[in-house]
Amino acid sequence: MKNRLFSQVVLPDVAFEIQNAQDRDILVMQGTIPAGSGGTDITINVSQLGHFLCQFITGTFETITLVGGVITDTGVNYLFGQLRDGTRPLFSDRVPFSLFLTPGRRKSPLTVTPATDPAGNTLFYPMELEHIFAVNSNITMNVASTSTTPVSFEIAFHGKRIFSGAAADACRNKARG
Amino acid sequence: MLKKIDVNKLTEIVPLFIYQRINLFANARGAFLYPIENGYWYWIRHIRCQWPEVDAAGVVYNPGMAIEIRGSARHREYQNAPIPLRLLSSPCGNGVRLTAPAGMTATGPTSFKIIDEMLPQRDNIELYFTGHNVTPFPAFIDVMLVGYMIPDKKMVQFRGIN
Repeated sequence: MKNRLFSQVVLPDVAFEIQNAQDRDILVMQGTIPAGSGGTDITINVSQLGHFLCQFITGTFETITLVGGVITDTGVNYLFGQLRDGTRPLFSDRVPFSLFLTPGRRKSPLTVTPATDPAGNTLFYPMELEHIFAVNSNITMNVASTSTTPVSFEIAFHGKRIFSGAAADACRNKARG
Repeated sequence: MLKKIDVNKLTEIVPLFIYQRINLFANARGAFLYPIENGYWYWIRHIRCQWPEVDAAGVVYNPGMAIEIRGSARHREYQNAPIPLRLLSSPCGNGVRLTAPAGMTATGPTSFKIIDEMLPQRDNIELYFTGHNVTPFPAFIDVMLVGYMIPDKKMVQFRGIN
């Protein structure tokens, strides 16, 4: 049986074969950065399941700080992060979260006026980041904060899982030359 | 869409997002300069910019900035006139306010525009920014290039991986 998806014919046999080797996957990174942090590593592991081909990232974060001793949502971006594959930087420097994450700012439950704080942004086109993270490697975001209170964020890495086995062996052989 | 991913073809090209905060002085162009590592091409996919539109007191207003992209090795300008940044970048100054000390609000949703900047660079990346007023305001602009490092396989350090 053939199914047509937009302009492409999808053959179930072929689709299942691909899905058995490579499937969609999302890795979520969550962290709370201490007040005034000069650089805190938030790390997730790709796991033994297989290589992870990241294609897009989305992210959201709080914009809170202390104003007169009270946690206040100022709407100001306080977080700056540098993404690393293991120890290899994928950003040249720490980048303001507001510059590359969508939807970006969200409400915080920690303020004294959550009901009247401005609504968070809604998801727009996700950010492109195409990179393959090898099986069992670490994805690290080194995050600095200029806030005077701890600030939380969440980032999702959207992509495909390339299951271990032949694909992993091929990659290792390639790396060895 | 439904094609197997060839892992071997993905191990050479590496993303590198290049970020700089550029100071803007009165009556001058702000410059984004970045030397590319020897032996690599840098493929710019997207240019991301953010600048304060209104100052901390809500007094000074800047409607927009413009960018000039130069291909230094080719002695080329990649536009016929400075391009309004809003036409190719996000989030720009949309609702972004300046707060002390040099903090910017994150009220403008960030997004990735579906424009493929087919702009491989080999030596120095040169971008120039204009459009600030004489105060000058904004005093700085955050710029990030979304792109990929591509090894030039003709270079001796990469022989053997092909």
